[in-house]
Amino acid sequence: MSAASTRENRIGVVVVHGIGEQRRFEHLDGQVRALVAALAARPGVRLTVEITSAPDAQFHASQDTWLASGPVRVHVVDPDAGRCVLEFHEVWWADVNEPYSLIKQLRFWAWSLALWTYPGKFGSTRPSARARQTPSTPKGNLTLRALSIRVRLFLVAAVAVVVAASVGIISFLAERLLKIKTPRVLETFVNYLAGVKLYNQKERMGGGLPAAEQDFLDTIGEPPRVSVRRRMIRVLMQVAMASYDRWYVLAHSLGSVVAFNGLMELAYKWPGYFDQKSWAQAGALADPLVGAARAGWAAPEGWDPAPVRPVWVAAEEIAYRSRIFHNLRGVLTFGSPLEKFAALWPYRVALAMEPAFRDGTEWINVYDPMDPVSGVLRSFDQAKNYCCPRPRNVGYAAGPLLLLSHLQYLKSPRGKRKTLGDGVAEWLLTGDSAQIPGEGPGWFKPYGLQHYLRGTLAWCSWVLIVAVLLVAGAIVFPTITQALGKSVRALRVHVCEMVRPDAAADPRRCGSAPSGED
Amino acid sequence: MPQPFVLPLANHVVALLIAAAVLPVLFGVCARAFFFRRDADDARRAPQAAQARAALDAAQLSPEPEERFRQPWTAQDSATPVATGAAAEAAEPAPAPTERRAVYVGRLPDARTFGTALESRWRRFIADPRQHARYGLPRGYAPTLAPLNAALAAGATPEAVTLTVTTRAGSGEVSSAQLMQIWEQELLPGLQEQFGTEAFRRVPEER
Repeated sequence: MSAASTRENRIGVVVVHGIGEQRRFEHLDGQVRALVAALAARPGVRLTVEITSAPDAQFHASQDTWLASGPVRVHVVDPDAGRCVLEFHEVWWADVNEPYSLIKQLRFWAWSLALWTYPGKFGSTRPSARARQTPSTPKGNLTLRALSIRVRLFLVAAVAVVVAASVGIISFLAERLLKIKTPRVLETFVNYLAGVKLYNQKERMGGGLPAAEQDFLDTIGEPPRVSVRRRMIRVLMQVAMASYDRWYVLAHSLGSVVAFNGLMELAYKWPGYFDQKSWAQAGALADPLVGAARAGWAAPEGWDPAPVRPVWVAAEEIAYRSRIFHNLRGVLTFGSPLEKFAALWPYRVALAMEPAFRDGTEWINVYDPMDPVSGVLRSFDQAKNYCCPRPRNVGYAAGPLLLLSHLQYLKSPRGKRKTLGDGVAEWLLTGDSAQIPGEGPGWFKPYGLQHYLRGTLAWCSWVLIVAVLLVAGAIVFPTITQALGKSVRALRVHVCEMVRPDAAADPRRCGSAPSGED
Repeated sequence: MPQPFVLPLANHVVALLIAAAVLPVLFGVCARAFFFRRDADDARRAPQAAQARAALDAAQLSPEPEERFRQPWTAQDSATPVATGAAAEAAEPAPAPTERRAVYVGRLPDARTFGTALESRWRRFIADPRQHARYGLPRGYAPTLAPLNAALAAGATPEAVTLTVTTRAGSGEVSSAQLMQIWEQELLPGLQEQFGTEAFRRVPEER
C-alpha cells in the first residue's frame, strides 16, 4: 500500500506562549522547530515544512508577513501514522503586557516585593459564577496550604531584592544602555513575576508619571486578562472552524492559565470575545458553532462584566462548546503555574460546570521540580470528565539548571532517552499519548524518588544561587551607590560654580573637597 | 551604620540580607493597607457553595441544545483514514466528515444553468485580489472550477427542487469552513440575485 493511497489526516495544533516579550510567531517558531526535530527523528519519516505567507506585505518590511491563521504547516509521511498535515496556530498575547517605561519597572519591583500579600480570589458574586466551580483543594488544611505558598512568595520577594541589588542592576544597565539581552535565567524569574502581576491587575497602565490607564479600546474598564483570554478564545474558534480531524492545545508556563481560562469559559460569555462579523460567520456554518441555547435554559441575570455581552447578540445566544471542542484531542501544559493559582486565586482558574469535552479528551501536565514555576496539578480532578478532563501529571527532567529548565521542556537535549518532543510528536501524529512519559532516564512519577531528588537539588540550587547573588550584590551595590554618590557630588559642585562665580576661586564654598581629598 | 564584621564585604552581605527581609515586609504591609483591594465581586464563601453544587449532574447545566460531548473518542477517531488497493484508485472518495454541507429547497433552474452560473461567479471571485486578501487565501490559489459539489435533486413539485452544496476542501490549502463561508457570503448572494431568493430556502439539517 503506497502512502499516496491514503487521505491526509488534518491535525491542528494551538501553541500558547507564557509571559515575556515575545514577538509575533517567536514562540511558535521555537516550539515548531523543536517538534520538527522530534518528527524528523522518527524512523522512516519524510516531512516538508511550509510557511503560509500573506499575499501582501508592508512597504520596506524587513520580514515577510505570515498568515495569522495556521501560518506553519508540516506535511508528514510516517510509516505508522500515514500521511498527516500539522497546521500550527499561535495564541499571541505578549502585546497585552504594559508598554515598557521606567515607571513600569518601578511598579513591577514594588509589586514583586508586595506580591506575597496580594488578596486572594476565592469566589465571585457575579451571575455567571453559578456555572463555575473553583478547583478543589487536595487533602490537608486549606489555610496552611495558602500560608505555605505565601511564605514561598515572600521568599521570592526576598530573592528579588538580592537579584535587584546584584545582577538586576548590571543587566538593567547592560540591556538599556548597551542593548545586551538579559540572561535567560533572570528573564525567567522576572517573567514569572510579571505574568502573575499581569494576570491579577485590574487595569492596564501606560507610561509616564502618573501613569494613565491604557486599556485596549475593546476592553475599557476590564482587566487585561480579558484581552488575553480574547486572543485564546478567538484562536479556539478559528481552529474549530478549520474542521481538523483532531486538534491539540500546547500551553507553556502562564500560557497554561490562558489556555485553561479559554477552554473553561462559559458558553454564555463567549460572544463577548468576538466581533459581530466573526460571530455571525461561526453561526452561518452548515454545522453552526454558535446559536440559540436549548429551550428551558435560563441565562444568567444581572450585570456580568469581564467581558460584557455585546449589544448585538440575542439574549439566549451562546457558543456551542461541545461542537467547538468536538475534535479537541488533548491539552498539554508544561511548566504550568496552575496549581499556585488554584491555591491563592482559585476563582481565576475556575472550572466550567457546563459539559463540553468528549470522553477520552486528554490533559497532560508535564512538570519539573527544577522549574519552580511548574508543579503537580492536584486541584483539578474533581469535575466530571466532560466538564474538565482530569490532568495526568508527568515528571520530566527538562534541564539540568534551576529556572533554565522552565524553558527547555520541548527543547531538552536528545540523549538515549525519549524526549518530551518525541512523545508529543507521537501524540500529534497517531493520537496515542502512551509515549508521555517516554522510556529512559529523565521521566518520573509524581512524588517518586526522582521527584524528591530533583526537588532537593532545586532547593540546594536556590541556596547556592542566593549565596552567590548575596556576595555579588555586596560588591555591586556599594560600588554603584558610591559611583552615583560621586556623580551627584560632582553635579552639585558644577551647578554651584555656575550660579556662584566666586566659588571657582574657593571650591570649599560649594562643598567640594580640595583636590587630592576626594 | 554598625559594622559588626571586620571584612567590609561581610558587612555588605548582612546589610543586603536585612534589606531582603525588611523590604518585602514594608512593601507588603503598605501595599495591603493602601493599594491592594479585593475584587468588587469577590465572594469568600463561593467555593463551598460551588463544591456543594458540584454534586449535581453537571450535564443539567448544559445550555446547548445538543449533547455532542457524549460521543467518546475511539481509537478509530485517531487513525489515519486509509483506502486500500484497487478500491482506492477506482472509487470516488466519500466526502470527508470534515467537509461542510448546506441544503436548500426552492424553484431552482436546471443543473446545467445552475452549474454555469456558479462557475461564472466563482471565476469572478477568484480573479479578484481583494477577495484573496479578505479571505486570506494562499498565494497562487486559483482553482479554475469551484471547489464545491452542487447536487440538484428533483422534488415533488417544481418549487421543491433540493440543492445540496458540499465543500471540496480535502487536504487542500483552503479549509472547508472557509469554502462554506465563501459560498454563503460571496457566491450565494449573487445566485440569489440571479434566480431569486425564494429559490434558496435553507433546510436545517438533522444531526
